[in-house]
Amino acid sequence: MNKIEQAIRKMSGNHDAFLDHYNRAYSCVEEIERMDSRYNLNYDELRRRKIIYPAMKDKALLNSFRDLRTQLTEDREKNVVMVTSISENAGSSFFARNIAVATAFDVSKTSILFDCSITRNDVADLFELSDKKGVINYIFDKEAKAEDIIHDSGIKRLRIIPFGESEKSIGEHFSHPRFQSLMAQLKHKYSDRYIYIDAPPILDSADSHILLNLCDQVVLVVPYGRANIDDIQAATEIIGKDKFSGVVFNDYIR
Amino acid sequence: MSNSPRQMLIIIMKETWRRRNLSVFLLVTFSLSVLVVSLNWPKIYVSTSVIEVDEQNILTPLLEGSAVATAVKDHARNAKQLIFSKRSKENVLNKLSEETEQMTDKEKETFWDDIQDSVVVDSLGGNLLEISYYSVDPFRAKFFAITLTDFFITESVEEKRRESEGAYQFIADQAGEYHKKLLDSEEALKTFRSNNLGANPASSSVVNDRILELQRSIEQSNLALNEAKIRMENIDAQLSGEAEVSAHLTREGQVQERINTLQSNLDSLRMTYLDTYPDVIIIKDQIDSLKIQMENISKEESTGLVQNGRLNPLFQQLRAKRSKFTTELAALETRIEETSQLLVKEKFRAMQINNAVAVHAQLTRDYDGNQNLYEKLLRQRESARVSMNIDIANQGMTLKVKEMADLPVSPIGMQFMHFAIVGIIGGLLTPFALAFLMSQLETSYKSFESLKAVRGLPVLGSISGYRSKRDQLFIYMWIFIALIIISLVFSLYIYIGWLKFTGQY
Repeated sequence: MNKIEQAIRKMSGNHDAFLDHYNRAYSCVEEIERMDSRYNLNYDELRRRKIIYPAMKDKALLNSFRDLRTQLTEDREKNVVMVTSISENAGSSFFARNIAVATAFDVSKTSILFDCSITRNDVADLFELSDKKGVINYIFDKEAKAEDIIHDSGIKRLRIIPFGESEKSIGEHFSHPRFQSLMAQLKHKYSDRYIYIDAPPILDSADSHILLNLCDQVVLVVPYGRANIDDIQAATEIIGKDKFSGVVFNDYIR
Repeated sequence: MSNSPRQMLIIIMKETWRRRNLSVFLLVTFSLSVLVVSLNWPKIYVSTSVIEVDEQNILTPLLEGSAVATAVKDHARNAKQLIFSKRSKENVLNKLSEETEQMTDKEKETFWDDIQDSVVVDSLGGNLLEISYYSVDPFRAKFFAITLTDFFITESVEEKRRESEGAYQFIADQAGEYHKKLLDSEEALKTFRSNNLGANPASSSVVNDRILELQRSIEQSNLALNEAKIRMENIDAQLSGEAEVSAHLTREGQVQERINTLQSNLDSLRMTYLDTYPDVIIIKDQIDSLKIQMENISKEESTGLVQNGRLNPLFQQLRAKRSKFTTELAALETRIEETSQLLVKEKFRAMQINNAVAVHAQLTRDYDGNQNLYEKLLRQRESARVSMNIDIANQGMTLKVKEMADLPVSPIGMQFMHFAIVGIIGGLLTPFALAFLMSQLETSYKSFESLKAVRGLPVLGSISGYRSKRDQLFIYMWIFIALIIISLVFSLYIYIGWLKFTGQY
C-alpha cells in the first residue's frame, strides 16, 4: 500500500470498490480494445460535432492537436489534464474535446472527456448523452458507481463523463468527497488513460480553483483578441507554476 | 506588441472579419452618407474673366529719364478696391433695379456683402488678372462676372484717361515754366552781350596778341635805350679828351719845340766843351733869338691881332653826334613810357574781357540747359497730348479682356465622380481602418507570435477554427448577403451616376 492508496482510501472510504478498480489498472491493450464503441460516428457526424478525425481535410488543425497531445501525454503520471480558459467562449470545450479525441487516436491510450464546465452542458448535447447520468448524479447519488457515469462517445478509446443534471446541483460540487474519490478512481483505473477536464474559465469561476488541486496539468486556452497580458498574468498566478503546462492560443474567430 | 507588416495585415483582416457585421454596416453607412452628401452638395458655378493689364504707367514712358514714375500698383488689390467701391455697388444695384427696388438699405447692404463674398479677384501672375464670381446659379455667376469686369474696365479706362490728362497737364505746366525760364535766360544773355560788345573769346585773343606786341616793343625800346646810353657815354668820354681849340699845334708850339731841342743840344755840348766853344755860343744865340721870337708871338696872340689857332674839327663832329643821340634817347624814353601805359591799359582790358567771357559762358550754359529741357518737355508734351487723345478716344486701352466671363457649364468643386470615388473607396476602406485602429488600441493578443513573445509564459501551441458544414454554410450565406448589400449600395452610385451622365438628374 503506498501513500496514494492510503490517501484515496481515506478520501473515498470505499476500500473494496477502490481495490476492485485498482486491480484492474495496468491492463493491457487488449482491454482497451474491449472498450470499443458500440457505435462509431461517421465523418459527417464528427464534423457536425467539430471533432477532429484523421481523414479530415484541415491537416494543419489535425497536426496541431496531435502535437499538443504529444506534449500533454509526455508524463504518464500526469494524466489528469485540466483545460480551462481566460474567459467564456474561449474555445476551451472545443479544445478539451479534441485533445481527448487526439489522445484517443493513439491505440495504446484511452481518454476521458470529463465535463466540469457547470453552466454549459454542451458535451452531453454534443454526444447525445442528455438523458444519461453525469458527475452531479454521481456526487449526490451514493449508490452510483463510476461506471455509471462513464459513457461511450462513439469514438474509439474515448469515454465521456457528462456534467449531468440534478435538482441538488447547487454549489460546491468539486469539493465534495465523492467527487474527489471519483477523481482518484479515474486517475488510477487505467494506465495510459488520460482524463481531460473541461473546466470553467479560470478567472471567472471559483470551481476551477478547486479543480486545480485535483489535476496534474493545466492547459490555459487564450482566445484570439480577448486576453491581454494582465489577464494572462492573473490566470498564471492562480494556476501556479507547478501544474501549468502552458497556454494554447485559439486563433478561431467566430 | 510589435508586429511585422505581414502580421499586421493578417491581424487587420482578422479584425475586420471579427467585426464583419459592423464592417458591412460601416461600409453601407459611409457610402450612403457620402451619396446623400453628394446629392445635397451645393453646385457652385464660377464664371471668370481674365484681363491683361499693361504694367506700365502712362507717365513711365513719357517721363522716361526725366522723372521717376510712381511705383507699379498691385493690380489685384487695385481691381478689388475698384470692384468693391461704392460706385460699383451703385452700378450693380442699378442694373438689378427690379430686384433691389423694394430692398431697404440694410437689405441692400447685405445683398452687396453677399456679392462681395462671392467675388474673387486674383492675380494670375504676370499681367493677368482674374475676376471670378461664385454662385449656385450659373446665369447669375456670368451676369455678375461680366458686370463687374465691365465696371472694372470702364472705371480703369476712365481713371487712365484722367491720369493721362493729368500727365499732360503736368508736362504742359512744366513746359510753360521752362519756357519762361528760357526767355529769362535769353534776355539776360542779350543784355549782357549788348553791354559787353567786344567781350568775346575772339577779342580776348586779339588783346592778348596786342599785349605781347607791346611787351616786345617795350623790350626792344629798352634795348635801344641802353645802347644809346652807352654810346652817349662814349661820346662824352671822347669829348672830354679833345680840346675845343687846337692851339697847341701853332707857331708858339713849334718855337718852344725848337728851343727845347736846342737846349738839349746845348746841354750835350756843354759836357764836352766850354761855353766859349763856338758851337755853344751859336746855339746860345739861337736859343735867345728863339726866346725873343716866342715873346713876340705871345704878344701878338694877346692882342688878338694875329689869329694863329683854329677850332678842333673832331670836337665839332662829336658834339654834333652827341646832340643827335640826346634827341634819340629822349625819343626812346618817351616811347617806352607810352608803350607801358598802353600795356597796362591792354591788360586791364584783357581782364575785363575774361570776366565777361566767364559770365557769358554761365549765361550761355543756363540758356542751353533751359533750352534742352524745354525742347524735351515740348516733345514729351506732344507725346502726352497724343496719349491723352488716344485715351480720350479709348484707343490706347491698357486693359485687355483676354477671356470674357461666359456661362459656366459644369459646377466647380466636388463632382459626383469624386463623391463616388470617395464613397466607394472610403466605404471599402472604413472597416479596415477601424480594424487597424482597434488593433492599435487593443492590447489583447491577436497572434500566436505575439503570445509566444511573452516572457516566462509556456506556450504549447495554437489551434485554428474548426468549421462544421453548417458553419461553412452560414459563412457562405453571410458573404453572399453582404455582397448583395454592398453591390446594392454601389449600384446605387452607378445608377445615380448614370442619371447624372445622361442628364436626367
